Amino acid sequence: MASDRLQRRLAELDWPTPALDQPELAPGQLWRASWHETAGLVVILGNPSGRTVNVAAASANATGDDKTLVASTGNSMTPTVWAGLTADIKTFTLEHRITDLTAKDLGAVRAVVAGSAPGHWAPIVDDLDDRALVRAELADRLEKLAEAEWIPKTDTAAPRLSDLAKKSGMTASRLGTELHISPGDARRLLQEKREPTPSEVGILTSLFGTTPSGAMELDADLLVEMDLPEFRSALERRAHRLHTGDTIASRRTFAASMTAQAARQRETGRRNWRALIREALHED
Amino acid sequence: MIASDKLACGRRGSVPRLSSGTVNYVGGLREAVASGQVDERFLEAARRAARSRVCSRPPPTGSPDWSNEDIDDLVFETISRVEPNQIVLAANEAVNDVQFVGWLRKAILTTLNLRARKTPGGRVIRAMDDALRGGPDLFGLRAGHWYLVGDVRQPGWSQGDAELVATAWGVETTTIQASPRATKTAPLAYRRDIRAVCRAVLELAGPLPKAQLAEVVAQRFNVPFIEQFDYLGAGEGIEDQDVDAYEDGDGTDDVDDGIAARWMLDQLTEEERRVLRLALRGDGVRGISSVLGCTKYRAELLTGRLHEKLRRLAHLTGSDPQEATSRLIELVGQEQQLRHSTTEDGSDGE
Repeated sequence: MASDRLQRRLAELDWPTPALDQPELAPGQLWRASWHETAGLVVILGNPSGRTVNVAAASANATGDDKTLVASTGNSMTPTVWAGLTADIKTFTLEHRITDLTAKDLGAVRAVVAGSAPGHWAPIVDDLDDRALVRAELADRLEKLAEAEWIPKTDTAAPRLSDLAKKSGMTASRLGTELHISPGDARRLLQEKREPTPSEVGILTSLFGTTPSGAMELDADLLVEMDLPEFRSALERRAHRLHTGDTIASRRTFAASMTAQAARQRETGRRNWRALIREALHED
Repeated sequence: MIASDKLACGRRGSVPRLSSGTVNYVGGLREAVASGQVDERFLEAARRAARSRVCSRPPPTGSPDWSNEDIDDLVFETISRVEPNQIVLAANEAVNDVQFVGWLRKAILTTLNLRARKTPGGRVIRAMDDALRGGPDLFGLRAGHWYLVGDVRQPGWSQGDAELVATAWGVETTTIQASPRATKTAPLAYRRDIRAVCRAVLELAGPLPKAQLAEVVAQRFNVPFIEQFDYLGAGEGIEDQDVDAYEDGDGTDDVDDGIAARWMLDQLTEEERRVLRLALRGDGVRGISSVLGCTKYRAELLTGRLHEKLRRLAHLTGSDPQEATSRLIELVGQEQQLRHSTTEDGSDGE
C-alpha cells in the first residue's frame, strides 16, 4: 500500500527526539512557551529572576535580521535565534524544553545580544522587507508571553472588604449568614485568605454599596514556585478536571488552597513551598 | 522517532470523517509531531494538505488526476526539502493543530512552486537577465559574472550577502512582490527596478556571479516569502503584452488603472488585505490591532506597509490614483467573495 511505502520512506529520514521535559531553567535551553492563543520558541539567556526569565525569540523559519543567527543544538535541530528580540517572560509560560544550544552557539548568541558580533542576515532597513513581518510576529509573541498573568489584578482604588466590614460593624458570623457560608469561611474572606466568588461579590456589593477589592494576598515565594514549568502540566490537568479547562481559575484556587493550608501550619521560618505544592498536586 | 508500529496496526479509523470533503483532525497532531512522532495523524494531515494545494495543477506523471502515489511523492519531497528537524521545531512553534496544518500547507505549496520553476533561483535569474540585457549601456556579462560597464575591478567580493542585501533595500522601487502563480512570464518587478537594484549592488561589490546577484535580487523583492504571507496570484489574468508594457514602464507613461490595481493586489499580503478592509470600515490602528489580535506595533507596521504600497500604486497610475485605488478596493472585495465561495464549496481543505 502507498501509505505503508510513505511511512517507510519517512522512517528512513533522520527525525530528532526533543527532550520534552521541565528541568531547572538554565541558559542555552530551547523551550516551547505558550499561554492561551500564543505559542513560540524561546532560548533561555539567563537564570530566572523571581517569576520571570530573560529569553530570546527563536523560530523554525530560516530567516532573520542582522541580529539573528542559526544555532546548533544537541539533537540536530537548528533553530533560528533572534538575539535582537529579547524579553523577560513569565516562567509559567514555559511548557517544555526541546533541546539545548551547544555552549559555543550560546556564546555566539550572547555575543550578538551584546552587540559584539553580527548576525547571519542583512539588517532590515525597509518596512516593506517581508522580514519585518516575521520580526513583528515574533515580537508580538514575546510581548504577549511577557504580559501573561494569572494573578488577579489588584484594584488599588477599591476598598478592602475588611475595612468595609469594620466600618459598618459587620461581624464574621453575620457576614456568613448574609453569604450563606460558615462563620469560619466568612472570617477567611475577611482576612483575604480566599477570594470572594462572583455570586459573593454581587451580595457584598449590594450589602456595602460598593464592590470590595477581591485581591487575595499571595506569598511571593509561593508564586515563584507555582510558576515553575515542573508544575504546569499537573495544574493544567487540574484545570481540566475541576475548572472546565480554565487554567487561570485553577491556578488561583490552588494558590488560595495552598495559602490556607500553610496558614494552618504552626511551624515558623521560611516555608518549603515547592515541597508543599508537589505534595498537594500528588494528592490530586 | 517514527511510530511505524502504530501505522502498521491500521488505526486509520481514528480520524473521523464528518462529511465528504471535510475532516476533523483528531486533537494531538501538533503534540505528536512536536514530540518527534510521525504517525498516521501526520500522514493523513499531510496528504490532505497536499490534495488541497495541488488544485488545478497538472500531475507530474502527465495523467489526468493526481494519484495517491503522486500525492505521497509530493509529501515526501516536501518533508525531505524542509527537513524533519525543522518540521518538529515548527510543530513546537505552532499554537495548535490548525496553525500547524496551515504551516504544512504552505510548505507543500512552496514545493509545488519550486517544482514549477525547476530551480529555486531559475525564475529570478531569468527575470534579472532579461532586465539587465535590456540595459546594454550599463551592464555587461563576462564569464558568468554581471558587471557595470566601465568597472575595471576583478570579481572578488568576499564579504557575504548581508551588505549587498542592505544596499539593495536602499533602492526605492515601484513594485515589491513577485506574483506567486504566474506561469507564462516572470513578473518579478519592473525591469527598470531590477536594473536600479543591480546597479547599486554592482557599484558596491564589483562584478558578481549571476547566482549571487540573483540571490540578492530575490531577497530585495521578497521572493522567499511568497507562500508564507499568502500573496495572491491575481496577475494570472494579465496578458503577456500587458506584462511587457508594465515591466518596461518607465513610470512616465500612463498605465491602465485596472492592470495596475490587479498588479498591486498581488503586492498585498493576506494581512494587508484584511487591514485594507478594516481601514475602509474606518478602523484605526487600535481597532486593527484588536481585530487582528496583535500588538499596536505590528498593527502600525501593517498599516504603514499598506499606505506605502498604495502610495506607489498612485504614483504608478499617475493621472488618476483614486480610480486605481478604487479598482483595487473592488478587487479586494471580489477576492474576499471568491475565498468565501471556495470555503463554502469545501474545496479548500479543512
